[in-house]
Amino acid sequence: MDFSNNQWLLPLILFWPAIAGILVLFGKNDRVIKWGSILASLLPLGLSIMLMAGYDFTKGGMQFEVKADWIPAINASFHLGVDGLSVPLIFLTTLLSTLSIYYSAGTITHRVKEYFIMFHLLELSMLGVFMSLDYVLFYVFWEISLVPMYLLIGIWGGKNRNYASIKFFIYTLIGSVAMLLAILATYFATGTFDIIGAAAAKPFMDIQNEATRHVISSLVFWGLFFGFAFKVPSFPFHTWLPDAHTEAPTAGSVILAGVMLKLGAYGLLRIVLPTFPETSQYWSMWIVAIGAIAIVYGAFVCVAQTDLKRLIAYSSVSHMGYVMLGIGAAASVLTPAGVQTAMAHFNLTQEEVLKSAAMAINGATLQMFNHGIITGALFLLVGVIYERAHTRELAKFGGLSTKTPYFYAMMLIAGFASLGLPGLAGFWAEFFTFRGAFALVPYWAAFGVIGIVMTAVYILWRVIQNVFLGEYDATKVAHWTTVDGQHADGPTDMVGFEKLTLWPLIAGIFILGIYPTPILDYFNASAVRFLAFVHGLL
Amino acid sequence: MNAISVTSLGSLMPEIILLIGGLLILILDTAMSEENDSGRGYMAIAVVFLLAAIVPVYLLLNTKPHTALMVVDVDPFAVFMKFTIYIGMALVAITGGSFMNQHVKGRGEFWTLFMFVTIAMSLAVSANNLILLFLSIEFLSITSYLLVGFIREDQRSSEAGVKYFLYGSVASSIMLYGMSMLYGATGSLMLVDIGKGFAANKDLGTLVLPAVLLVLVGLGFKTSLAPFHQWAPDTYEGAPTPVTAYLSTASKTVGFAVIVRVLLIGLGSFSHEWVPILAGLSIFTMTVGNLVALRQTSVKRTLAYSSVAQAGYILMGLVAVVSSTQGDLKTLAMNGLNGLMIYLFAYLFTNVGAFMVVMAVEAFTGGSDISAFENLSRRSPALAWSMFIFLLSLTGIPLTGGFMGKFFVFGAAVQHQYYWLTAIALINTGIAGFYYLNIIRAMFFGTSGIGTYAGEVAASGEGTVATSAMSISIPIQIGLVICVIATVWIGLYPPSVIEWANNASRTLLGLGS
Repeated sequence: MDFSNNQWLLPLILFWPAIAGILVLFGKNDRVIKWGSILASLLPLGLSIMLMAGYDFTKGGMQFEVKADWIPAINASFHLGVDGLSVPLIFLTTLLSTLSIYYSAGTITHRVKEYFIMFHLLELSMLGVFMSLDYVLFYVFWEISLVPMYLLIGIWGGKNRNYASIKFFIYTLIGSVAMLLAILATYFATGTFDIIGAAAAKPFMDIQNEATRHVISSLVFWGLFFGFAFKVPSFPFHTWLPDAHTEAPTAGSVILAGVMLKLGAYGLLRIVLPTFPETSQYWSMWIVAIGAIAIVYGAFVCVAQTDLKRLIAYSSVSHMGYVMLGIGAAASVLTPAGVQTAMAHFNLTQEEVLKSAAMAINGATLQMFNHGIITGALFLLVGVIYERAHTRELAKFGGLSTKTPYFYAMMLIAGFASLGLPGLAGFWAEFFTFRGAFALVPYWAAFGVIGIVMTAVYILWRVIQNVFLGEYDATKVAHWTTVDGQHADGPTDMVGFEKLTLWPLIAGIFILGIYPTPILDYFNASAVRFLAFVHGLL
Repeated sequence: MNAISVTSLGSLMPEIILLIGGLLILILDTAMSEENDSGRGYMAIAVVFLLAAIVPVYLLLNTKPHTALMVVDVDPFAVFMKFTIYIGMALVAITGGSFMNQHVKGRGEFWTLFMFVTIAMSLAVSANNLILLFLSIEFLSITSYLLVGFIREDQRSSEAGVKYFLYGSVASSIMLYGMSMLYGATGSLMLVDIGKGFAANKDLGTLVLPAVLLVLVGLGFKTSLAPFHQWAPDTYEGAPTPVTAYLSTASKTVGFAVIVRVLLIGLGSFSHEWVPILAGLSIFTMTVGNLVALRQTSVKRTLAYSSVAQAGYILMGLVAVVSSTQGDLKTLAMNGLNGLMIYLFAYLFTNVGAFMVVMAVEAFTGGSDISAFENLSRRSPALAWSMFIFLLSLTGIPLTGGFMGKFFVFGAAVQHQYYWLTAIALINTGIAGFYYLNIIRAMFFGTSGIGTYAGEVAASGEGTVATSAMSISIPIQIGLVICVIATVWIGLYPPSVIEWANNASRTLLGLGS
């Protein structure tokens, strides 16, 4: 391993959480463990900002690459690298991890040591997925991310945690084994576990018999797709998500919604689309349909929820639908033939088609990032009210705006960002996604717009009006406490550590709402390069 | 034909060391004639000789295939299997030894038998001749029957011994019938000559199916393949836990090694006849094992059925092995046989470790029911986290040996486009997750509804579950540390294991190394 050329950066970001976890193991008391964890998590955050600053746009492509032999017998190597797609997601991971750890330090009171070790391991595994350029390494990190999350839900979760945790684990396990089989098939077709190398080798395209080629590549495509779609989770594989989210501790939900759901979409963009452009294009309408249905279905289900956290959880299903819609729209024009069809069909020039595809991908990726921030904030806010009321039932709330104005303001901002109000972060992602999708898959995009309308309904009506407006009735919640569990006569407003956890996210919502370029530049660079790659222009 | 020479005895050094150890214990036992000997001395001798036997085996790992004493093949495949078996037996002796010394009478006899059972396994994986094959398997079976029923005061142990014996003797005789067909068809007892005989005369094809089926009854019994697995849960549950640990690992390794040898060397030319049988057995075994395991409330029985299911996955490796010989160099990274070997090697540490945890919990709580595992993470974090790693390994989560095994076995199946087989294995992996996670749930999640929040923790009250700390004896600690390190090592950085398995499988398949 050569450590010149900033090669130390990725391994350090990646393995620092493991070191932090080991240090926590020797922590003497809860205070030391909590503060030690918070401080330790600042290092990867700082380094990931360095990574963003250090990424060279003029060069593009994979940077900070590290490669070392791992299992020579099967050509599996320890290969890390980042491009415009992964850099912002790594930043998102480290940011949300730090905030979650900080928030947890204020709320977790039992089995503290195990909790923080799990959290560091969780950060490690997610970072590993975003950095891996080797299928085996990717899969290893992908799978081990399950384990700490499973324990987080199972040990520190709510009443129904046994069911929720096992459902989460089994669903994703089945999805990932399907993915493993597809990865193995790709390996035997290309002879390499290198993610970039396998994409360049165009697996299965050398099979002469057209029917066989189609069947095999479709099987592999669906194997990978299942693995990723279970994680996204796209309709109809989403049923584990509301349970897992509802039962997980607040910080667990933040990471689950903020980062883990993105692993699936990241997998589609990093592996499926570049490696199987023809097959992805063939099935692209399915991805589009799945995405559009998820948008609408998720939004409608949200309206029917009676539990605030479950509502936010279903909103993730709906919002991740945008990501799938964007990816699907771009997938429909991955080959020259697809571009020709789109040109003829919608009366566009080639340039317009490719631009729309890039827009769709940019929308999807930006949505991944923004959804991480917005939903992270929303779940933290749900945690805030749950700590005090010990219930999340919408029917028990009302009129909180006068009692807890600070909390109300925060919820308004996050809620409006979630429904895509211009000027806040959520808007741009939706705008780009639908701009791209309307050009390439207009009918499904039009269908998806229903979801946008319904999002406004559930945010404004179910959340804002139900919880904050109307008459405050003191008898509805049995027992209010402060965040420390002390008795209180009514709802108390947010305290310092909660405000401090939320401010970076709220700031992010504003900044990216007004000026999304800093993040968009990374995504756009990778989208343009990806399209050039599949169209053989590189 | 090789003459019996001194040099060939060198290749048998491991067995000779074990024999000396076993006889030494036997002589000491007779000479001392002390009724209440603690058995520690015998245990020490057994461990030292087992460890001593591992050394020559390790040195032989990359040996050129040769034959010793005419009927014992010393090739990398056999040596790898011996390596696996000896490590397993040494681990069982270290960790389970004091348990056995506490619970059995006639400790000298126990340790003598323990050494002899190891020799039997060692010979079985090396035998290239049907007579030695049958004799060593019988030797293994008879000593195992005795060991299973060794705690005479315990009715369940005796019952387990009898059950094992009854099933085993029937299975053996059926297997012998199958072997006699092989002999009758070719007129030779040597596997190589049987192979040549079958390859030369395609008319013998009609005999392959019945012969394979009959032989597989006997060997399927040893490896607990469904439908020949019925003895396993009762025997595993009733037998002393250290004996269970070796029955489910080392003894199973022997069964697979013999299946591989008989089918590949003896009947390799008729693989199209027996591959479907094996594939069917594999599917049936993993599905039955997993489905029945779901219903178990005893952890020991759960592990017993899980060991049945694991046998199904392992068999996938052999299903995929056959057409490898036609593959080109690129595809040979996963030839199926190396997957089977890696799986067995990783499975050994995982399962021995899991049974050691069961043994420790049993020693403390007096039972192996799932309720005995409740709250284990509080009572003994070390035991709980070790078990956690073993269960993840059994599930096939990366960074554990179990994943590497599954990776290579599934890889071989995908490579040969057994998509339906891999699809069923996929579903089975999901089913298996349920009962492995159920044990994790019991150990870590506690029974009462504990929320994240301080108030709820206080309100829920954890008084219903025993929380007293458990102590673990030093030998079990040592054994667990070895098992955990080995399980993680195979998952994290497996090149050496893969290289041994590759070398061994390529030599046996005649691919050149």
